[in-house]
Amino acid sequence: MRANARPIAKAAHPARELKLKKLRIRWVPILFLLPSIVAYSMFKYYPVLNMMYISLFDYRIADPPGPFVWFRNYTEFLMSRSFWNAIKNTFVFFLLYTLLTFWVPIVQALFLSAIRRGRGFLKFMYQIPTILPAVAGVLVWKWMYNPDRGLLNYWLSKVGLGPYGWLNDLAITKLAIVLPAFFAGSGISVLLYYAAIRSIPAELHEAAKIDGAGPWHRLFSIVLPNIGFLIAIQFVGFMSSILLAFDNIYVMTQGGPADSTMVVSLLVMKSAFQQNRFGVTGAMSFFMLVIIAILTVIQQKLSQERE
Amino acid sequence: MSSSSSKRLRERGDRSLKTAAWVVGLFFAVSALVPVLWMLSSSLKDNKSIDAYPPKWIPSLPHAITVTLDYSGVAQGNPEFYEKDAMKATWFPWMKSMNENIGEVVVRGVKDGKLLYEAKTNSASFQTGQPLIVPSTLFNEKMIELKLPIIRERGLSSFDWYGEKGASAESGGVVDAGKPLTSRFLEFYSSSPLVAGKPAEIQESKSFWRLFDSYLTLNKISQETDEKLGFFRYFLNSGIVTAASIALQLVFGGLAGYALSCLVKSKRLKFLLVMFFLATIMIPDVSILIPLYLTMQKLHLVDTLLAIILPHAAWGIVIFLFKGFFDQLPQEVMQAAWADGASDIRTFTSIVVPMSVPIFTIVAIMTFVPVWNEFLWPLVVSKSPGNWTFTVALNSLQQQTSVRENTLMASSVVSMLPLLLVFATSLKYIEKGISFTGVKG
Repeated sequence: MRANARPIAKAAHPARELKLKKLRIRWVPILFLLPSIVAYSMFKYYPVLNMMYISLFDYRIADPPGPFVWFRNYTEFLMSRSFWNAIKNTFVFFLLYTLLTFWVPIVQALFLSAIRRGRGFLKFMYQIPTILPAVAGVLVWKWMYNPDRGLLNYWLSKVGLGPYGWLNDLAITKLAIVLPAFFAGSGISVLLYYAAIRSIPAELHEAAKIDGAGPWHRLFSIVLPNIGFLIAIQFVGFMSSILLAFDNIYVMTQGGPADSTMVVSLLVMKSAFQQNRFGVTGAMSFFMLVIIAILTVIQQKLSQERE
Repeated sequence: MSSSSSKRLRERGDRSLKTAAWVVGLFFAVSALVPVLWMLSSSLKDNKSIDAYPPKWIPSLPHAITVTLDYSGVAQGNPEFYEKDAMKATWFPWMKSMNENIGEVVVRGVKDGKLLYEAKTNSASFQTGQPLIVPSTLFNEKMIELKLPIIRERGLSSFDWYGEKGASAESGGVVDAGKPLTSRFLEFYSSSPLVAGKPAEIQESKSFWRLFDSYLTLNKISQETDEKLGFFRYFLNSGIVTAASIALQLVFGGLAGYALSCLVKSKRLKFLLVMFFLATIMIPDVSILIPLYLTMQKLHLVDTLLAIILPHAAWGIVIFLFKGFFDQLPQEVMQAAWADGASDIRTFTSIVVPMSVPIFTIVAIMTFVPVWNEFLWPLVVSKSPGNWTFTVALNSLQQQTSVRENTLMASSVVSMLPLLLVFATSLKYIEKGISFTGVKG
């Protein structure tokens, strides 16, 4: 488009155009891009490189960087029991989150598209858990989980269940951390799925109607397959969000009891700022970075395919 | 026949789908609402009913107790004597009934029909001051002597002195010993020699406003660890961090997005720059925790708000939101300005920016939520309470065993208000932003 405009401008002011062209191409884009390039270099690239560097040392905070140890930090965390325990916990969390929470916003959005009146109301209600800051939401649930005076044990006792120890009971702590997410759903994801459902061409619906497909059938044979790509993309993002989950677990249990909710991101935080083992933490961080990078690339590939 | 049956079938399916949709929709709507309502209700409870089992949904109104002490025949003119006496008459009997739902105790001193003083203490002051002022029910003369400076310094009880001449006081002389709290207070005054004044009148009423004392308690607790601003300080910090981060993202992201979209001509260079920015979305915050901390240390920014704000300037997705929007702008308008001899900067500020208000709004609203809720990085980088954001403060509150659930729930309610405001006013923009980012992936 601009290529078409250039000859016109050139014809109008040939001399100035030449001068301006030099100016424009050299300085203004640099001026516009410089703040971001500096910020990204300082707060993303430099830290990543520094992390890789740190991971090769037995890092001493008082006298950085300390002795060079090749890849000993990597072998150390790969051999440690706490790391594999964290990996195992993360995997259990992944299963629980997938079973209990991932499908919730999809179902919500599908049913949202099936009703007409009251849609705005439901859409707003689904946003309520998003409005409650994550840390505050965890505090509310912690209070509801109170084994002696909590709302949940009281309700369950009415139907003859419990009492449960929730966050103190090794067998169900993980479930107790995931359960709030089931009830809360994900307001933002509902909107995302709903927007995708709305963008399905109306002709598809009409064609199916003429073919005699009922509303339930249309929901599963037209709407669901049409948002399949989005579900796949979201699922990859969902996987990285579980690997990175920190806030709710940290506030709820700090990884306890007996490390039953310790996950890799908590391990990174603890070994860094409670045990000051920067070298090993750097190695673990690099491991996380690699996994997240792979997931992100898959997600990007999926969304490009969709376009 | 067949057509009518297929029509009936479709209608039936329609009805069952709508019913299922509403059942599922209402289930999740209710399950989203219950924790919030429970939080609200808990935040209004006193220390006794928060422990109630079975749990109560409706908080009960706190009692306000007004005690009138008669000093006729006491030959003392020193205000401090009366202030100490008022403090004893407030804190000691309250401590003895500390598990009752008392919202406020007012002690008034009268002498020969004249009002000498009026001392007020609310339950927020009592709850926060109790461990210091009256740690046990073993009272003695010395205690208040030692604690009066603390009471004054922290403003736990107000004390208005009307002087020896006094203001006029009307006294009904009613002591309704039938009410349980009144009788407890009366029993204390008549059995203990510590209080000099004689109880002339004790009134007991319900006070609506004292329902909200958990919120005051919250502020008082924060004032102890921080400065005068109390919990508001954390709120202000979060507000400053959020506003500054959004401003940075809008300026940096807008400029870079425009440059990538319209100014960089070389395809190769553009590809390199896009990859430079895009690749950073692969870097999770957790994995650069230590090096980012070390960077802040080098910049001497650890334990400042700037350390929380600055990394937000490098959010990969923001530039692409802007670039995507600028790519769709009508090029003719910009070319016209360009042909008129306007510089690139002028074109940007006077033509592109006014056309792009929607994308600036969307980016601002969409970054508000994650920045406001951010927890891990502020937890790591801000050490002193004066630089905490509210998420860090909330986490610290819940770790203090002395902080009760009603105060915690009050803190959660307060932290929800800004997002409630954002969502209530701009759900439309959020939806727009969602569909916009959704298309982009």
